[in-house]
Amino acid sequence: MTLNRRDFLKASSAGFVAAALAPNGFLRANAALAADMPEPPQFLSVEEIYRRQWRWDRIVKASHGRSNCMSACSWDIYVRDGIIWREEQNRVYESQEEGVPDFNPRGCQKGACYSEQTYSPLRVLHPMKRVGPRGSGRWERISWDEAYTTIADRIVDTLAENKPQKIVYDHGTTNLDFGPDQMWESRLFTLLSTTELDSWGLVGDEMMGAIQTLGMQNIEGSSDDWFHSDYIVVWMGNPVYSRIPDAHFMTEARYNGAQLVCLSPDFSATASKADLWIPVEPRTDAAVAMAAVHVIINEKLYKEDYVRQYTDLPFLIREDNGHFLKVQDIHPSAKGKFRYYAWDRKANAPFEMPGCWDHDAEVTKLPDDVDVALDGRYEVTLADGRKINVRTNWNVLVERVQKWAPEMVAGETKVNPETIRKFARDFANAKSPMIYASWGAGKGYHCDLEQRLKILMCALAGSHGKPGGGYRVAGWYTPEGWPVVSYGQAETVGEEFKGVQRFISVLEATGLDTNETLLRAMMNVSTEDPVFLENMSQAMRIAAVPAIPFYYMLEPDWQQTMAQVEDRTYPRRLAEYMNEALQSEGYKNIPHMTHAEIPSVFIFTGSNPLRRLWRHDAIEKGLWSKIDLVVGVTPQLNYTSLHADILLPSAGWYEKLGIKYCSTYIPYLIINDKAIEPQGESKCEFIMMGELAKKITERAIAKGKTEFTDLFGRRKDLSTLYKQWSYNDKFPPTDEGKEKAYDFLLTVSAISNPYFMSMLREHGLGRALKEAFGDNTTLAQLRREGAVKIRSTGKYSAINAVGSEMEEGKTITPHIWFIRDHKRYPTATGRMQFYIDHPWYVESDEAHPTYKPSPALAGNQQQFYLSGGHTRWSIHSQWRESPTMLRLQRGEPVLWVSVEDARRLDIANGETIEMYNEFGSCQCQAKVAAAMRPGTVLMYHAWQPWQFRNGVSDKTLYGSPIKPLHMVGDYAQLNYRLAGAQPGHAPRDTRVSLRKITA
Amino acid sequence: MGFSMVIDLNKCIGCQTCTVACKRQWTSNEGQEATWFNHVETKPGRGWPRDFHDMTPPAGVYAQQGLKGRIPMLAESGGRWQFDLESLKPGRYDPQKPLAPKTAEKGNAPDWGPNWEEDEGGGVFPNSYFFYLPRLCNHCEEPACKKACPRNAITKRDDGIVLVDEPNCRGYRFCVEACPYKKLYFNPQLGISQKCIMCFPRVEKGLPPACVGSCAGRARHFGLLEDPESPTHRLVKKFGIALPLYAEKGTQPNVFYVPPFSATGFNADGTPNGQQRIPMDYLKELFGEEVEQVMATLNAERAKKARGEPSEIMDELIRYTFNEAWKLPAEEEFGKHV
Repeated sequence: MTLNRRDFLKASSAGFVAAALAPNGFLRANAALAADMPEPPQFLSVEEIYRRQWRWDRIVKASHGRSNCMSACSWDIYVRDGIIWREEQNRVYESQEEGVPDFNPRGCQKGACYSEQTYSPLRVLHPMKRVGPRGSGRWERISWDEAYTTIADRIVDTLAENKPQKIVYDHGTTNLDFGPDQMWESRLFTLLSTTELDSWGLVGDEMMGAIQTLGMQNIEGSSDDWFHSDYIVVWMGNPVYSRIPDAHFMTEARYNGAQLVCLSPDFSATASKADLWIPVEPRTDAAVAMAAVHVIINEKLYKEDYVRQYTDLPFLIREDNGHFLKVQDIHPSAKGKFRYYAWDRKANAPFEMPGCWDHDAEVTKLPDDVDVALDGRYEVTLADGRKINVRTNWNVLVERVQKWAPEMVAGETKVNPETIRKFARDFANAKSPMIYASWGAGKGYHCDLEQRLKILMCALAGSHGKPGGGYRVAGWYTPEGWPVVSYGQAETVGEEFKGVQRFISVLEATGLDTNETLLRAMMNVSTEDPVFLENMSQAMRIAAVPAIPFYYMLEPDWQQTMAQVEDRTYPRRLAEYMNEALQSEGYKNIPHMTHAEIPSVFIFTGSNPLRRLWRHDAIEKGLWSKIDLVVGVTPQLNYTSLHADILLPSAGWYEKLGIKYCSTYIPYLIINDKAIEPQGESKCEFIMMGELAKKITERAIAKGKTEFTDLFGRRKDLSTLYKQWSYNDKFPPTDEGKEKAYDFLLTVSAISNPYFMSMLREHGLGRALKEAFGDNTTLAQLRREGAVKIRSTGKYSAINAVGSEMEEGKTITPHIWFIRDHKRYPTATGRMQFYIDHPWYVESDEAHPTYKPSPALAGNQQQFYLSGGHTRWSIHSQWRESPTMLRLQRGEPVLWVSVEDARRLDIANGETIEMYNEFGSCQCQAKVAAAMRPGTVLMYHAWQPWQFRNGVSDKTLYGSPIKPLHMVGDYAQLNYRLAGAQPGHAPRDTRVSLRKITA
Repeated sequence: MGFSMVIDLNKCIGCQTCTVACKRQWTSNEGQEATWFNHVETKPGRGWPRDFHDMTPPAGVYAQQGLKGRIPMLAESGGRWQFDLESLKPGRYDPQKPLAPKTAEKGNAPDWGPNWEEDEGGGVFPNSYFFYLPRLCNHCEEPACKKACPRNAITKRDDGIVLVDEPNCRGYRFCVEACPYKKLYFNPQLGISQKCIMCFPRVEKGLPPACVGSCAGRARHFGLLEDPESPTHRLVKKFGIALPLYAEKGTQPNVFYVPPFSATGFNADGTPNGQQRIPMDYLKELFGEEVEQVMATLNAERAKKARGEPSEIMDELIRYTFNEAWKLPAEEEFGKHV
């Protein structure tokens, strides 16, 4: 409404005079109208003032693709006058099953204020060159061309020495948006055959216990499946903080009659929603689990049929050497070492169990005429005629657990035996008990033992693979097109992946590179067998290197630190284990690791590696100082950018087209559309990497250094780099090229187009092209709806371990394939495996899961366990400097201290304190809480060092040595692959002391 | 009679998505750094502003002795927190100066704020307990703020929404004094008081208030209290399981709470005692004597579900379809129902 002078006078005379005179009303109206008000001041009613604030030019569907938050969500972005004013959840999800709540409104407080960061003073708006010493924060603005040239020259020179491993690419953990930005960024570094740091273990997200037991670490369906549970156990997790859009399924399950149980040292936010909270002494969870297993077994509460079918517990173990009885023990010429026996009571003889890693059968179903014994001790004759005794795995396990009665662990765990009994009984008697463990469960030294025991509990209760049941760690529905582009190479992956002609024709028809081997292999795999796919993943020759061994090898200070705090209960020293592992078959296949050198170029994208690294102070002085060129690709200044040499500004969310990665929790494909142009000179990664590829090509030709040999012995040609990167300019680094790339992804990925692959496989190219296109999820549809339900759960991969198809009218329950369909697990035994007969495990008494006390690695002499967890307030260090978020906390890092300890140490709530151990000290505010456990202090995740009172973060206090057993690389599932088995981070085994800071 | 809200404390997870959705919508301007039309506090605790409960006498006393409330002091609200992000910008970074909040008023480090007591709780470990209490303007039937305004600049619309007529406000702050919930905010930039508007520009267009539509815990229900089709009517009037906060203040709030369950406490020997760990007396302090009966109803209904029997009350609280958590008059009919 625009008032003319006459209207204005009328309005004034009608009683608006007071408003006209009121300076506040004037300002307020003016502020609200600043954008569309060419006229002199107008005087509005309060209602009109506010109504005018609900006017928008456009609403765009977007999300926060690469923010590495597990709870994917779609947002409406409200744009007026080219400015993003706010965002609100896009409430479009439907209930998947009658009688189960829907997913709305997905999104949390962080997503609700990302637009604040769009305009944050911390945005990097131009390419920058460092001019002061590293860490000084002194910068000079440069042109994109200068930035690209500096980087390209260094890359070309390094490759010319045939040392691609000296270029290190770090994109954080799975910091992927699953869209063209991430795909074509990874593609560039794959084509250059550089080292790609795999940081799963580094951040402690590595679920080694799950990998040991199930051969995979991400085991989850849709979060509404939780609603089917009648006994939900949150154990090593805090979903009320870290799964904000999904937590309601737990509170709603509770209203539906379920019991919610939480085990944690402190009274966590999730404990506040529980019916039973079991306060556990830190790092003794495995002892509680051992006692629970004791109760379930001794009171015969287990489901015997389930245990016999789906676990390795009927398998035979040799009494003489503690290893499984292998087929090769009896038939030395048999092919494959991972083939084992159980005892058939009908035949009264060993029976080779189908579906083991090296067995031909891909299913584990037992024939009807076989009666496998769960218990017993038998005599077998080996090939050399020797007679030996064997016992079933179950028989050994039952004997082992006898010493773990609840009374025996009460002292250490500080949990009353009756409480454990009640927990164990209720768990085993429930219809569908579930253990939510997620990624808090990976951050302890012996976390693998805990995870194995929790999975054992689920197996005994027969609940894994049931709606609402089993062990849960979030995963992803991965679009196949993403690894194809990211890791597709122009070389064959091996003879075993044959029969690809039909797909090659498709590629030719679509004009894509016909040598996309991975794509060929993937599209033509006639099986979904995880063992086959894991082997293929190994054969892909991705130049990924597990980050912890990488830093261990290159940073002497880390080696020293680890030697100082290593666990001396193992038979050998860590250094010996490391040497042995690196010479084993498994690690020999990873030349980028065995040939690792101090990097010449280190490029981090969308991540903050120095904040993430423990003892980063040592790394900054050591390894980091020896790197010639550190390049940061970041939308916003973070701590690591201070220590970079070149900063490349990347566009923020809402400024570039992408895909929010598809968390299993929410079976929807979610777009991250572009609502406004990138701020300043920033660019999306797709365009940036294409331009960099062009520059590398140009500089290589100019320098006459176009050829090099990579560590797999492949000759590479830099003069065609850009052509390879862009598929012969099919996907040029422009907005249009990116949209085409997006279309390609949607076309070839089962989550958006399940028909293409199956039509191709079954009916050939002609029909696939004719019938499988046009029915896929399209970019236009995503732009319109924001979130579109996935069409299929996609193929199995290391991080897509849903293991179930979607079924109409049903929530997605994980691992239906392995239970209902008897498909084998990718483990040595093909089943849930509770006995690892690798020599290192056998000799250190970890072949079976057990409880081992925390070695209290750093700060052994100190007073407090330092606990931690993912915070409610940030996704790693993103949102850590958001004023809106900080105003809803205490504005700076806090250390949680119990009332009792605070009283004893005379620490007041809000006072500045120092936390220290032998590695360092950091200063922050004390938060004294009745919810905190005495003897434990807690700091939540991911403050930047510059937020601490003394500029030093808690990360400097962690010793965190490698657990030697996690370096095993030559045992079926324990064999490094991207995002696969690797050593993890153990911040939770740190101890500290506190002192007051007197002003 | 008018719009009402029910907040389910068993489903509120304290994530403050409501707080931020509201903030980004209405109060992100300068002068509003400490304006939180909606915030969530952890109970037990002193609340925000600190000890706000003690700042106004109960209504009866107000009437008889002429006692009135008072304005929260700076120390009690914590002030407007500023962060010098500019100091981290290229060329200005000083590792000796950590990024820490300072109040706009005094430049000191704040020692209170809207979520200062987050997850601290009460009780003695391991019988610790806490729950979340979202607080916003109650859009009271008898608004103390409206009575206190000497300029008649506070109105209660026909649909029950209580509004500060901002152009007519002179910033005297009698309303701030009077409100027992301390849910009016002085804006020093504009020199006026401001408060929750129950998102009337959205509600008029058929959209739920931002705090309701964005509630990730799905804890909020919204609608006309007297409309039998409104979820709030069912929860408050039909089932009688939602209660107002500090009813003794006498303003007749239109925001109601479903009281929280809690985990069993422990005996001295560490065995579960079977009692909810939030003391009933504490719940009574907040929600009155009736809370005991409401808890009994909730427990009985939940037990029905656990036995596999139906429960209309639990189904209403589960809320299978989120978009049914609110019932609004159609845009063209807006005003006719109220």
